[in-house]
Amino acid sequence: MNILEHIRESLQFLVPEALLLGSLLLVLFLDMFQATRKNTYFAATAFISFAAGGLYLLNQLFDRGSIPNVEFMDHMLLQNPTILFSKILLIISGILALVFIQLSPSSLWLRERGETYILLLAILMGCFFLVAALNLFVVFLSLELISVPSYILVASRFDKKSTEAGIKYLLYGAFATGVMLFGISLIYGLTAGMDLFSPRWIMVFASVPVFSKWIVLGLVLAALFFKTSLFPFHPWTPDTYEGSGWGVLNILSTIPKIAAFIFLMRLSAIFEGMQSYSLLLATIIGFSLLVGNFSALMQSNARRLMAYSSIAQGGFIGMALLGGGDLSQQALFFYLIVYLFSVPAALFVLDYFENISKGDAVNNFNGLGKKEPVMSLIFVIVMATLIGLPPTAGFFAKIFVFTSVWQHYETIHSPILLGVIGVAVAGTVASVFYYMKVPYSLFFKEFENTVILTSKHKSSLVFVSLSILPVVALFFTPDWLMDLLKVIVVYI
Amino acid sequence: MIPVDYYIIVSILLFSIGSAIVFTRRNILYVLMGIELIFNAANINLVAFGQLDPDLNGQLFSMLIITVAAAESVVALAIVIVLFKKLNTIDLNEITHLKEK
Repeated sequence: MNILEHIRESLQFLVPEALLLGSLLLVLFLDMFQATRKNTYFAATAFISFAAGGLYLLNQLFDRGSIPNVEFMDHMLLQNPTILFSKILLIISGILALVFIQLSPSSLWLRERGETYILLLAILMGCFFLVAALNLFVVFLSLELISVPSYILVASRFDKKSTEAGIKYLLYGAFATGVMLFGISLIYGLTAGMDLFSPRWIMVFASVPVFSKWIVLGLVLAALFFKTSLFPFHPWTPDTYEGSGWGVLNILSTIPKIAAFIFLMRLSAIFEGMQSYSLLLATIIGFSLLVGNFSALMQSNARRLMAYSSIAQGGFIGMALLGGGDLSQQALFFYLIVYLFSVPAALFVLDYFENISKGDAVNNFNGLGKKEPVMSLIFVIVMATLIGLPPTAGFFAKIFVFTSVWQHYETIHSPILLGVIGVAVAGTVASVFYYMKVPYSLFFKEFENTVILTSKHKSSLVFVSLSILPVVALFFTPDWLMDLLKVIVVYI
Repeated sequence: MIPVDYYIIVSILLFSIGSAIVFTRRNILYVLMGIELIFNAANINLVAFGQLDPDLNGQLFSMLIITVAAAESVVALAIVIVLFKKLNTIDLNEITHLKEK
């Protein structure tokens, strides 16, 4: 009886998740009848649950004094201001994904179906549980709740390319999950517990031999590296990106990544000062930066270019995990916020150009800059954000990340950290070349495409400018966000 | 009671066999079977370690793994069916529409 009482009390912390679940079921219900099977109904249902969940979370965040750190559901999940803030970020990227699907010219098949919304809501729910997880049970279940809908979403265009992308994604993903499960089973044997964040577990794990630590950490982190497409688990990214539609690709490259990075940050906070963990992470991030940045140089297809760019961006975000301490956690959140707004904008503009020129090779965009000057100019700003050039907040995001790693290097003098910084600097230089590939062909190549379709979408322009606006605005007031984040990260 | 060491040896063997199948076999169904073996290697470990745990966490976790693995297999087989309809093959070597140019 006691347990039941506890579970009933815990339910009050699950309001946003309940809203998502409710709207998921409602979409499922609406999808059953011919009369209500309408894109607008689905989108409105999902949007209302996002908005209500977001407002609820904001309200909770404002009276954060009352909830410093609450563990609920029998020490399975955690509620604190950092987690509330992360959930708000996820809600924002969920709303961006929803609007993206509605406006994207190539996502007609996607927005007409009820499944899309159901899967999007399920992915978001999985992310909510992942950022709040305290126990390996929840980590495993939430990762699966993110993965399985993603597999279906990728394969759901039902043509040759998308099913191939789906099966490749699934095989890599299932293998990564299997590896993680084996690691979890070994961790369970070594520490006799699944309660990752409890002081007892941390103490027991610290006394495990170094070699065993390397093995189990490597195995357990596999699934998280797969979700964030970091080095040994990145090969799915280009193939899956090439085969899936832009709307799906936007969901894959923002929502699960943000959640996985926030969870990795919480994990890094408990492993702070543990040599084997930071060494493993530093090596993997160095290789991701290397592979992502330098493979992207050779790409001629816009989707593959964005895939390698997302591996490289994963490396840059991961660098913020290495530093440890408040500054690096602030840097991570700052980078994630910039990433969250700029990636949908970049993908949307590419989608728009692809629709005009009927092809996703970079050559197809030749000379479009003169036909679509406003869109192309916005695209230059978006690419500047991803590179980290001054008139955008991407500049500060990169600066903060580099500073946090450099400060950490000055305290521990590890040559691996220096290597990571070196690779990151070289990668930033390389990124100028591949991110500017598309703008170059937009403005400096002669127009040669004959099959041009005129599609003047005012709404596309509005969406792209609105999603890039926060990034430009943050360039002028980075202190404001950093101060806010300082208050937020205290609770980790 | 059988010592835990023997269970660990069996599970490591299963894990290795599963990984070897995943990396060498080119038929998608075989690859899925290999992944299933990896899942079950984890299950054996969890149940073996769970004997010593009064909370039975290991046993519970292995039940979760079995159900989730079933859900994952359903999705995998559904995608394989669509793939077979479109491409008439389930050989990974012949599924090469997406690659570096």
